[in-house]
Amino acid sequence: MTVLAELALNQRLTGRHSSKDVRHLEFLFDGYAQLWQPGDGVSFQPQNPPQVVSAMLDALGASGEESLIGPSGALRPLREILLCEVELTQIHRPLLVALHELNHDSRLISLLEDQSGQALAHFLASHQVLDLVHQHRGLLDAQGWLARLRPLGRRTYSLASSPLAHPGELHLLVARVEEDHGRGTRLGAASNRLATLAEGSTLELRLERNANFHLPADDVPLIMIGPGTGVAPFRGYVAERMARGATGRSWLFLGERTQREDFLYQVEWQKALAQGGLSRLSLAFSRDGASKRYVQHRILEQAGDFYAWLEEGAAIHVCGDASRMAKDVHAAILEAIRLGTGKDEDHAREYLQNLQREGRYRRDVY
Amino acid sequence: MNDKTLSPVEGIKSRSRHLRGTILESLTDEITGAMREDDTQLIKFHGLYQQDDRDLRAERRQQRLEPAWQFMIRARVPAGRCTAAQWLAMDAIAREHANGTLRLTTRQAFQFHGIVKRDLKASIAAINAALLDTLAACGDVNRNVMGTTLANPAAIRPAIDAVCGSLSDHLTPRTRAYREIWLDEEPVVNTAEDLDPIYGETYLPRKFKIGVAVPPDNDIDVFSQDLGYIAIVEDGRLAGFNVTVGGGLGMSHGEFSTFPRAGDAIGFCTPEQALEVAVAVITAQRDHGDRSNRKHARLKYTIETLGLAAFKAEVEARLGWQLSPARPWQFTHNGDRRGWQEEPEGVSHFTVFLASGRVQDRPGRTALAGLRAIAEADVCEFHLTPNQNVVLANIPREARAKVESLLALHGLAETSISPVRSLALACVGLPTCGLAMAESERYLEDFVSQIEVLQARHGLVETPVTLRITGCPNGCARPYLAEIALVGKAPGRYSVYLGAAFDGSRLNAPWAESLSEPEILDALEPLFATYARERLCAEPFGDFVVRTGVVPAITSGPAFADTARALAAARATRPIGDGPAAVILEET
Repeated sequence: MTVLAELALNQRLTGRHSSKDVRHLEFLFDGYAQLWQPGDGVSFQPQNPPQVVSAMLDALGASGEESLIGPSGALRPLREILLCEVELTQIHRPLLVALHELNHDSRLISLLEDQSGQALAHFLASHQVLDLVHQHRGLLDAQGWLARLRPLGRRTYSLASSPLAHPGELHLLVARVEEDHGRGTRLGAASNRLATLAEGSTLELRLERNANFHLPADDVPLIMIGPGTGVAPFRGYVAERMARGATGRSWLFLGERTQREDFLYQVEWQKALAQGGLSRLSLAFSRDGASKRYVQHRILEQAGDFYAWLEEGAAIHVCGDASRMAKDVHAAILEAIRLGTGKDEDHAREYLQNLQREGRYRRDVY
Repeated sequence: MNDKTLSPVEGIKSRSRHLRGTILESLTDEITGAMREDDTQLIKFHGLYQQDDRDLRAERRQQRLEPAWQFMIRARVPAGRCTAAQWLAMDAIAREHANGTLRLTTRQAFQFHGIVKRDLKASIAAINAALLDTLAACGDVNRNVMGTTLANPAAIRPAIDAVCGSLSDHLTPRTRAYREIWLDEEPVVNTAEDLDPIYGETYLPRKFKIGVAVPPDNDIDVFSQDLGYIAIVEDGRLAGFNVTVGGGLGMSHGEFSTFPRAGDAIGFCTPEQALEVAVAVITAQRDHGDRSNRKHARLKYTIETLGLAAFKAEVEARLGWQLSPARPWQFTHNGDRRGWQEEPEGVSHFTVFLASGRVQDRPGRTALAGLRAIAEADVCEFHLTPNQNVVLANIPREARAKVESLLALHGLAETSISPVRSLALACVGLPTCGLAMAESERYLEDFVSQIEVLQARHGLVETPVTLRITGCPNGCARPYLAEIALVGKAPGRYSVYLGAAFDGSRLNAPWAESLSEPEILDALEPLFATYARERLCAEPFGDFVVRTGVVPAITSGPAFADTARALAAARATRPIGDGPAAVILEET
């Protein structure tokens, strides 16, 4: 289902001295609240940042007025194709394969043949199309590049609101991707589109059901692990449970860089704790201390209580980064179970598999 | 007073197990950068104030972040005497944990601003490692003991230091909570061991201030102290002290039961008796002070309630002997000496001027780096002055050239600062102080420049005048003992007080309410003009405005309150929009 939503609030949540620009967006729309639940998401069609499009045109030696054909199949000015039709901010293995086939680049070979995949993953995460155009200058003309780029796909964000607590509203938590890997600032297409959207403007949003990541029954104790913007669905969870008067206890693990500048929704969590909507809050701020602390460390520090919650029937929901966080958290949960049961690792693995089968261990990672 | 309800802070103190409260739990709570509410009162006794960056308040509310909580730490330095090594330690804390500046207070102490909760323990441990501490730097106890900087004759300085040191040591709370919380000492098994013979379970009703002045210098504003000692020097040696009681400057706007009060001399004691007198005065205040209303709890109100004679009798009853009559004294100097001072033996001192006591690096004037370099040279002592400057003291002849070159290198050598600028004081105010209603430290230099322009127009540039600005009426920069004082009422608006004695022996009087800067300058201009024309020989501005009837001579705290009441009444009946807001009072 698609709704035309009006942006009512675009509010930065991180303090002025933060190294991050994380934003809370509130969209207004009419009706249909019964169709979605906390844990669901919305998708929208992004556009590439105009700065990225201009840089691409420079690198291609093009004016942007050239009529070319992009993934839509229609003849359009190059500038519009780069803006709306092709992925510029994310690259994928097939593009590297195509470039390799064209010019047998030795660096690409080592990336593509790397067995562990780590070097490739790192390369993909730290490069954009513009970097490849620079590295392979003159290899392809503009139409040649267009033929090898992916169509610009929709992006999905978890909802950060509850239809019950925030009727008529859809809240999103958006971390603006603005990275520098030594080749100038790299912007994310979706996050910059949202972060720069003016209040009062409208955006077409499609509700994306996420049936595997909905609240358990009201009386089930719930452990939520959501560092970074992974906290978004849990804001909806907690608001929904408070609005329903749910009786189950809830324990939230949050992580960010600093307590003072990056504590997303700090005042709301303080209120939820005071009002009983949240039973326990464990925090990991990676840049506040001498050593980096992450949510998995907080789980291990409180392994006894963590296991006790599981024995009392708690469900675990994890949301956020898939590449490292989800694995580290998984390992920490296994360790907490191993310590709690006093048995070996295999037994802990079995215990967690059982939780998974019972739907008590759910992950929404990306 | 026992029939009245105790103020809530009294409950917090008595439940605190000798100032422990739940400070340890508050420190480890990561969910907030603040302390628990009761603990915010108790940490004052440990030398801390919880504050927030008020410049960020509105924006952080929108960011759904709590206020930018941070702490002020105050380190006690009895009489402001500090070694080069101690200075270096304070400098390091300022750069590592605080906002990169040091602030010297009007009570000769160090203040650090902008320290976040998780850095408190390391900061306080570092202060203690430098053999200073923060215990009782704030709170309802005796605060940092003040003493005249480089008293004369030089031969009595050790005796003055000894008195200041013994008062400070003996009047420090006995609780071991401080060392348990901040220095990781083993908790005492039974907190009854902390029993404090002077302070008891609930400490004093309110803060308590002691200062030792050595005439002719009244740099410490002895009449602002709850308990003051005026040194009497006879035949070149310290004969003893006149004792003053009941000074205190805090008040509240529009509450005429509150007022500043100048201390009264009640007698004379010998140096050996000074501590005994302090204990008698403090315990009398402990037992008779008002614990129901914190705005009426200072010693000055106890004395107004009991009467000075009765209070003196109470003190003497506790002593078991009578004070001898006060001896004659004369103060002729206020503020700090400027520039270089020479001692006969080739030793010299240099006063480094610091606007509002702020030690910081600015283009062309790198006070923090410069004083660090001088401390590293390890050739002098650092004496924090009551007027928020630092004296590089006891520089031997052979080290003077080195100090001079470092002063010049860091832009600290100038001695051409105008008298009004060198005497001017301001409290910290915005953005860190929670009480401030208007700018103070951040405004002082601008305002002084305006006054300098006014003075220049009337040929008064070389005439010293005491000028002080505070952001609220609580009196941190001793405003009511200034010849001209601005006390914040609202952003950009100040109540103006005139006519204190230059030597600090008489309070000023409320003169005008809630003026903007142009209104203040317009109102002062004609006074400066007549002062330039009609002043008597060497007559200070404060005395002039009293003699010519601009303001009444304030001879008591209640008289100050009466003048404030009359001013408020006159303002209330003034037609709106009728001329300038200044209401100039006829002598009452």
